[in-house]
Amino acid sequence: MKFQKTNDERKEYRDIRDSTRSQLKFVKNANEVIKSTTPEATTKIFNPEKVLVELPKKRFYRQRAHANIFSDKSAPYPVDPKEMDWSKLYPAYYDEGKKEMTKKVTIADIGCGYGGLLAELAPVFPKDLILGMEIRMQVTSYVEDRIIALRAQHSENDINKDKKHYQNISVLRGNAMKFMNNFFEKGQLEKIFFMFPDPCFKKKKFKARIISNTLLSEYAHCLKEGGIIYTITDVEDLHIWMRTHLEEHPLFERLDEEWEKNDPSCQIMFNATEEGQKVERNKGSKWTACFRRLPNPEII
Amino acid sequence: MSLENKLFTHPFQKIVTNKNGDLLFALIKDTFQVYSLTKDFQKIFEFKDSLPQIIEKEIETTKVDDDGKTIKKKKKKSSNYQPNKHQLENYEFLRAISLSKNEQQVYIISDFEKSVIIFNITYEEKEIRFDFFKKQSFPKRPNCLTSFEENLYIGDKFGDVYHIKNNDASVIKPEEMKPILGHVGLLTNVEHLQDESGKNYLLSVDRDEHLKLSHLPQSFILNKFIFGHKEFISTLVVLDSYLISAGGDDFIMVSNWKTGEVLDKYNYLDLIKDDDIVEKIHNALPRFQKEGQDTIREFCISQLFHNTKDNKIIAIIEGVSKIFVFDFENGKLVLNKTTKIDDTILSVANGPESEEASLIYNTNNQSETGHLIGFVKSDYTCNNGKTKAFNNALQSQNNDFKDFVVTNEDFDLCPIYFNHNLRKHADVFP
Repeated sequence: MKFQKTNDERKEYRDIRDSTRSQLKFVKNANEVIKSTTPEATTKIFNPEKVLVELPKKRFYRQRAHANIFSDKSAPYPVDPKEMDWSKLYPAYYDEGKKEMTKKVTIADIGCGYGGLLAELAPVFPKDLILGMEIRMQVTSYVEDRIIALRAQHSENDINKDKKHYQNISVLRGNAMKFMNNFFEKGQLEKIFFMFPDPCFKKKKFKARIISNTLLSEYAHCLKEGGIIYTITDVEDLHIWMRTHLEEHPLFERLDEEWEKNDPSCQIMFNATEEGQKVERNKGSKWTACFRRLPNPEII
Repeated sequence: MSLENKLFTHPFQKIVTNKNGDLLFALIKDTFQVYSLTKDFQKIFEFKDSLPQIIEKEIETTKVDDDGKTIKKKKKKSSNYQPNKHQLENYEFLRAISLSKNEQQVYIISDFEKSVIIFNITYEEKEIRFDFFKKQSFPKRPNCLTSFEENLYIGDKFGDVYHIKNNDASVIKPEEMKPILGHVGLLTNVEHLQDESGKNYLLSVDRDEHLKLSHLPQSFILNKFIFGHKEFISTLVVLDSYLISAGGDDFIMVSNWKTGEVLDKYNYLDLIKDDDIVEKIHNALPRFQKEGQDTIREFCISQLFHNTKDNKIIAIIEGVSKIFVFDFENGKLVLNKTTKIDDTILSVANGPESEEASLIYNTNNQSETGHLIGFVKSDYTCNNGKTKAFNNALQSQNNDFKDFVVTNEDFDLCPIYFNHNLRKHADVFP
């Protein structure tokens, strides 16, 4: 049976990737680990050569598009942003001597999906640390595998020379709506992306939408003054919803089309990502809206 | 003794007293009662909340069948909606009670129509009058509230905080209400705070360990989060800059809400002795137990209370029949005294201004020698005489106490252990 075959094939593929990922996930350069691995240790399950040469195949990681953001067990999170261990996610930016990170995350892609934007942004912002947050486990695994492969394939490039090295992107599984502020300190972020979020069409589900007037106050807290929120969607209703809520919020102002045209991130967001390309293939429309974080008004 | 074999009277699930400690405001099932604590313990006022009459929509269709008979068919409005046990009428109850700071109003959070009920209190020479002011419904079940001057801030079980005026008798339609701030998780507490320059804040507390401080009235500006808790937070006390908070953690946390700094974590697990343990309450659910290992027990603080008379902090551990009294100096908690109570204690409140009764408490009333309300003297010993007198007065004034008889725990008893169900058993980042 065809389905049976696909399932077996998927299981085998996932097993190889899972075991390889667990060993290479927090490693700066996977090539070095592989060089030191003896041929005997390379079993069918742990097969780094294959994993590093090929980018992961999306069809083995498919997961339904929705996640219950109210669920308590959806994803782990740190007790306090100060306790978050970023060195595992960005090993190239960890100073072993001083035992601290040399940089902080400044760009966040919330609901990063298959990580298309991360890969595009990495060479454009070589001096920034970029984090993707995704709530679905399989999809997060895909992005992890993608980053392991990208880092290994570009390992000879030098971080200090602003070359494509992919050491500045990472991904974690997390529920940003509940715990955004457990990851980021006040005013830490410069850009937040909300790309093709779950439209939550039913009125009853509106609270589960990632943009709402109450949640915007929390995003504004971890966004620094002058920081940008980028939104894009292929659902017009959701676009109107996000735009209206952001326009109504006292801490955000809309940026005009001229600005959007001249902003490289906005252009990448519009053209580059998987979801965006899918919309293009289906000849759908895409709506963007970008907003700048205003300074806090005088406290009454 | 199992509940099924014993008829017992429903406990007061919540009590509050005024600053003088001469009025007791109590919630019992679906009824709000007020007692005088000085005048022979008279019942002054009673209000029973209920659902409005529901008119069931029935569509009648007439059909003539083959034999020429007319068949009348009654069809209920088709819907997939099935009320769960919490929505059944006999399961709804009054959830919380609080007094305005000037004691001119009392606020009751009611499950009936997901509402907040406001009563005006008028103090006349010979009597105290309670006038119904308004009942405001909310989109989701309200769970906590705080008041400041004419403002009322209500937190709901969906994570949103709403603002209403307590001097405006008009009622807003729930679907037209807009939250002023929100969390993505059940709110367990909201508290209005003010700093020395007169600026106002709202501290909102949720099941996801967040202590979130927002500005008021600019509620869209977040001041800070106070981190440190690892489990749900259910109760807090604010003393000047100090914030004392606790819940499902094994510690009581002291922090400075103005700086966000954590000053102390007092571990209270050592205070719990073997004979304090009530397995039904303290054992983790079977699915969280590990086979072949010691029983996993879970404790939480159900109430922290500041006794203004002697500046002591009182802590109640859920399901433990003891009152823990702490000294609080320079941001540190030091145990001063422990008082044993016959029954499982639910909460404490300020008692009448006298040596004889510094504190008043309510219990779950499940033991043989049980009593609903008890008094504690200023040296934190039990005042059995007063306790007995008050409970006798309760019985004699409530001829209709049969309304509050509990025969079936699931249906007649409102859930008096609110807190330990809040535990999530979720993963925390390594």
